[in-house]
Formats: sequence, C-alpha cells, structure tokens
Amino acid sequence: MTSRTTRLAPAALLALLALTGCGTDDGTTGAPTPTVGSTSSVRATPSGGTEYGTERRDITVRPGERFSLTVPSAPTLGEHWYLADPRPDKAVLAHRGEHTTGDRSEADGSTGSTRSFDFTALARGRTTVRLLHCPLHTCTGPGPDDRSTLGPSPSGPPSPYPTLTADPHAHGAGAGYYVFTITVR
Amino acid sequence: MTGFLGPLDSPAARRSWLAGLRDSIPKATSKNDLLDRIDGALFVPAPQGDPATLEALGKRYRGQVDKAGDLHDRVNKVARKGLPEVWTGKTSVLAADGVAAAARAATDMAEAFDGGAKALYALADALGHAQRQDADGRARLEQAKRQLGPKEGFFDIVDRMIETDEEKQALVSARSAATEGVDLMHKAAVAADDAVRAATRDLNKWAAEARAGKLRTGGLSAVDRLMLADTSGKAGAAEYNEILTAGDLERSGRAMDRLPAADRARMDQLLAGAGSPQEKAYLMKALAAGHSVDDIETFGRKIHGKDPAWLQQHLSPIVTQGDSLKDEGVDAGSGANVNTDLQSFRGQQWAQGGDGREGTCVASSTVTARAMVDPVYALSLTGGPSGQENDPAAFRRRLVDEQHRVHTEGHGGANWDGMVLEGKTEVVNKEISPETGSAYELHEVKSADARRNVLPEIEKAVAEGRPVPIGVEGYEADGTRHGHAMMIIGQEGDKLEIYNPWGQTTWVSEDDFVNGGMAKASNSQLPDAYAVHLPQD
Repeated sequence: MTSRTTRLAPAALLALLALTGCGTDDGTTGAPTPTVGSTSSVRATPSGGTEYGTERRDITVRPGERFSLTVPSAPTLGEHWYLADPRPDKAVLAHRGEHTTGDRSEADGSTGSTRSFDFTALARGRTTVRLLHCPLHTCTGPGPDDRSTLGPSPSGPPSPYPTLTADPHAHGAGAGYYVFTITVR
Repeated sequence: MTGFLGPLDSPAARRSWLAGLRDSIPKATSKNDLLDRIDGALFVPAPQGDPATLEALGKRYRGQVDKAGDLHDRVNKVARKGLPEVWTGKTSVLAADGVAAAARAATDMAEAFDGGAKALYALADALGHAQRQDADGRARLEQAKRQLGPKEGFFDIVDRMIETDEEKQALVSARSAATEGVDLMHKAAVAADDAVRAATRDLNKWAAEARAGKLRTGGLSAVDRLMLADTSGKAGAAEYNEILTAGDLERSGRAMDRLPAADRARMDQLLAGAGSPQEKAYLMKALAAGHSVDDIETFGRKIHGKDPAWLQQHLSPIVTQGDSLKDEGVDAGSGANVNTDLQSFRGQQWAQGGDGREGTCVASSTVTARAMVDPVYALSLTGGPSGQENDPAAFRRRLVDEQHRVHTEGHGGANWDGMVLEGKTEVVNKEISPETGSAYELHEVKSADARRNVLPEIEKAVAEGRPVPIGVEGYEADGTRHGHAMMIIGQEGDKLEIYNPWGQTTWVSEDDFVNGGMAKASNSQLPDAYAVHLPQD
C-alpha cells in the first residue's frame, strides 16, 4: 500500500499541531491573530439565540446569552470541524454541543450545510474559542504513509499548519484554526 | 408460461413475508386472528432446491480440479525446459510468456473448479439445513392449529362474548407454539436466501474469472487470447488489476470479428507491433470501449514503447493494492475505514474539484468511471493532447474541466454544487454506457430488502468490469439530508470495492451495503445506500 489514510484522533492531532508551534496555551489568544470581521454574518436563531458566522471573530455577548458559532461544513466534501484545545474558559462559557443544519437539498453533493458550535455565556470575562477546520485529506499524522506530506494537490500545503482563510471551501485552503474572541459583559 | 411471478415466488419476498408474521403472530389477540396468521405462514413455500443434485454437481466440479492441476504440472515442465526466444501467435507473443500464461490459466482453472465446488457444497449444506428447519417450523404451526381447532363463525363469537380461562390458556399455548414455528420458518427462509445469494455471487465470479474463454474471436490464436486475458498492470496485486475485464474481453472479441478486412489487418499489425503485453492489452481495451481503428492507431502511437508502469499510471486511474482487503477497523471520529487507498496521477488525486472542494461528486465519479473503462479517454486527461505529458498540475486542470463539463451536462447546481438523480441518469448513460455497451437504469434502494435484492446484479456487473454508480445519504436529527455519489468498481468474496470521488478507494462488506454501513467508504453522516444505477444487458 502506498498511500493509506492515517487519520489521527482529534486529541492526537491537536497535540501534533501544538508541537508545530501552531497554538498557545494561555487560553486567551490564538495564533495567528484573529481577524475582526464585519457583522454581516450575525443572525437570530429560531431557538432565541444568536448565530455568528466566520466573518466576525470578535464577539460580545451578555451573561446568560445563548449563541452559536456557525461554519460552512459539508459532509459530502469529507471535511471536519473540531472544537480545539485550549478549550474556552469554563467560568466564562459553557459549550452546549454541536449540530448540523442543511439546505434540505435532494441533490447529491450539495454543500449547503453548516456546523454550529453552541455556547451559553456564563459570567463576565473574555475567552477564546478555537475551531479547527480539517478539509479533505488533511489533519493527518507523521509516518511513511502520511498524507500531510502528500497534500491534497501538488501545490497543497505540506502540513496542517494553521492558517486563517475567509472561505473554508476555497481551493488550496489547508487545515486551519478559526479563532474567536468572546467577551461577556 | 408468461413469466408472471407471484408475490411469494422469490426467496427475498418469502423472507420479508415471514419477517412480518414473526413480528405479528406473538401479538395475535384472538383465535381467528392467530389462525389467519398461521395460514399465512403455511402458505409460504418451503425453500426450493435439491441438495443431493447440488452435491453431485459439486463432486463433478471437484473431479476437474485434479485434471487442471495435472495440466498445470505438464505446462510447468515445458516452462522449466528453457524455451528458446521464439515468437508465436498472430500478435507475436514470446513463447516463454505464452507458456507462463498457460500455467497461470491452468492454476486459475483449478481454482475456479475448486471455488465452484465449494460454492455448490455450501449451498447444498445450507439448503438441506434450511429445509429441515422449515419442516420443524411447519410442524409447530400445524400443532398450534390443532390446539386452536376450527375457526369460529360470526354467530359463534356473538353467542360467546366471554372467553373462558381454558380458552385463554389454549390461545396462549397455541400462540407460543406458532411463534416458535414461524421463527423457525423465517430463519430457514433467511438461511436459504443468503445461501442462494452467496452461491450465485461466487459462481458468477468464477464464471467471470474464466477469462481467456471470454475472448471469442476466430482471428486470434489460443496463445494470444491467453496472454491478453492474463495481462495485469505493474503496480498492485495482479489478480485485482487485470487490464482487460471479462466484459472487455467479450466486447473486444466481438469488435474484432466485426471489423472489415482492411481494418482487421491494421489491428493485427498494431497488436503485433506492440512493445509489451500491457501495450497490447490497452489497444484491445480501446477496441472494447468502441473506438475506431483510426482512433486506436493514433492512441497506439502515443503509448508505443512506454514501459508498463507508465502505461498503468496514465491509462488506469485505479490501482487495487494486495492488502487493500485487510480489515484495519474504522476511524473512531469519522466512521470511515482506516484501510483506504488514495488514487492519484503523480500525486494528484482523482478527486472532485481536484482537491475535494467542489460538490461535483456525481460528475467526478462518472469521469473516473469512464476513464477506468476507456484508456483513450484516460490518456486525454493524464497525458493531454499529445498523450506524452506527465504534469500533475496540468492533469488536475483537465480533470476539473471535464468534471465541470459533465456537471453542466447533468444540469448540476450553480457553483458546481450537487446534482439530482435525473441528471445522474443522464450523465452515466452519456458518458459510461457507450464504452461498456450497457445502458444504466436507476433503482432506488431505500430499504434493506431492496438493497439485498439488487446485490446479485451489482456483483455480476462489477465482476464483468462495469462500474455501478451508487448514491449514499444520511439524515440529521432535524431532517437535514446529506447525499453523496460514489462508484462500486470491484467485488471479491462478500466485499465490494468502492471508489469515492474524494480520490480514494476502500472495501465494504455486502452486509455494510445492505444494513447502513456505507459510512466506511465516506463518513458517518453518509451511512445508507439509497440508489444504484444498474447496467442493463
């Protein structure tokens, strides 16, 4: 076998990324620096919370507020999103869970679905939420069959080095962290 | 005989009917209700077939194994004598290569007879056991009927509104016997159905493996036919990477016989001038895919003298590794098989959008399937217009352009996003059917029974080298649907080889296909096969 999948468990993967110097452990900042986006990706959810897209990375919420960070995520593209370490400060935010919502398309290959990470603001303070995006054939470990040395394309990234991109589905975008700074006040 | 099939004429229908009664008999609340259901079970015919005849046939097959073994030993003796470097056959086969191919063919023949014998013995055993189990079940149902006595008429029921304790006890006892009886009958029906399917699958496979005999053309000598049937790509396991599938052998033989004399002479010349058995086999594959001799001459010039590794890299998109069938478990996070192989041209995967970022799974699986069955088409993507290129970036551009063309042809969504089944039917028929000679027909398979029913046709199609497009889907708790297109491209025992247009292949079991285990070929959000396009003969 010349090119076998060697997916890592998320925990092992995150350890690998930490070794590449891609993260910090102070729980307050991500690397690279998050981009402050526009407010165009904010909308109310049917359950009464607020939903934020990937364009806005600095978010302010009130204590007790329920909100979601929603990212484009299509299972049909073989991509995965993880809530990465270091996790948000538990005194400031509670992670309620995750869910996928789609466009109810009957077409095979439809990419219109999203993945939401749901939180409740608990108390005043500031913390970061790091979401790791692993597109198809990325986020693999070292070894002779390691896909990270192959890359999904000849010009692809040599490793799942964290980079911020505006569009997770953009061609050539590798694995990357999406770092959100959440202020509760 | 009109060919009309009654509702319980197929093993699958009997199995399904009895499954319903197995669930409902324990819940029967009255004597008449229970009697009706018992009659419903007894109405189902016993598993059909004569184990003694099957066993005798198996014995005959087994008797041929030794003869094929003797043949192999005799051919091997010739090979060991040190053959001079002479050429034979119409297409100039090196004598030593021909003898080696003959030895391998004799071994294959012995294996086929042995495999066929095993399949028949297994079927005879399973059928005998199922018939005995069915008879036991029927005996218990008859016993329950006797305990209950005759059915009550309307006035009997009105006259006697209150059921006595004895009558209640009799109903409980009869229901218990009937439950045991129908359970035995259902188990027998399941065992018989599974045994028949397994035997059909194995015998079809062994028939497809009798490869040299598929190439029926008067124009080629026996040694030519042997060599063409025996030739595999350089990488991967030889038995999984034969260049000419059983279907290719049949179609190319027919096409040779239909060629006008002048074209026939040109084709003979092309084959005789080929630089390797692989080159020769790809020329025949191009003929099987329906190309004219003019096209094949042009194609032949492009590939002439290339080594077998180059030929495989440029002309065969999928390479099946010898260890690819090994079960290495599933990834805990995604639910996908750990043992998955990337399929690439010089590092660039045969993937949708080039890197998996476009929702063109239908178009992309179709393009790769066409490239699998048509080496001229494959070379146009890998080697470009000259056929001589080796640049993966240029290949990626051509591949994605072609995926876009097919996506548009199937009226796929804007921004290369998704295609519905009608479009898929259109593109598989426009793109793959002309090469394989079989039109594709859509079968929706949304239940386990429906999936089980199409398995024999899938097995037969892929054993002959005709890819089977498959749609998989999954639903979130809120009803959100995810749908994905892949391709069934191989079969070995009870395993199906799946090409996922994420640029990878893996194997799933037939049980996975039937019972919602398709996540192994993609991820846990896409567990269920819901549609297949089957080639029609």
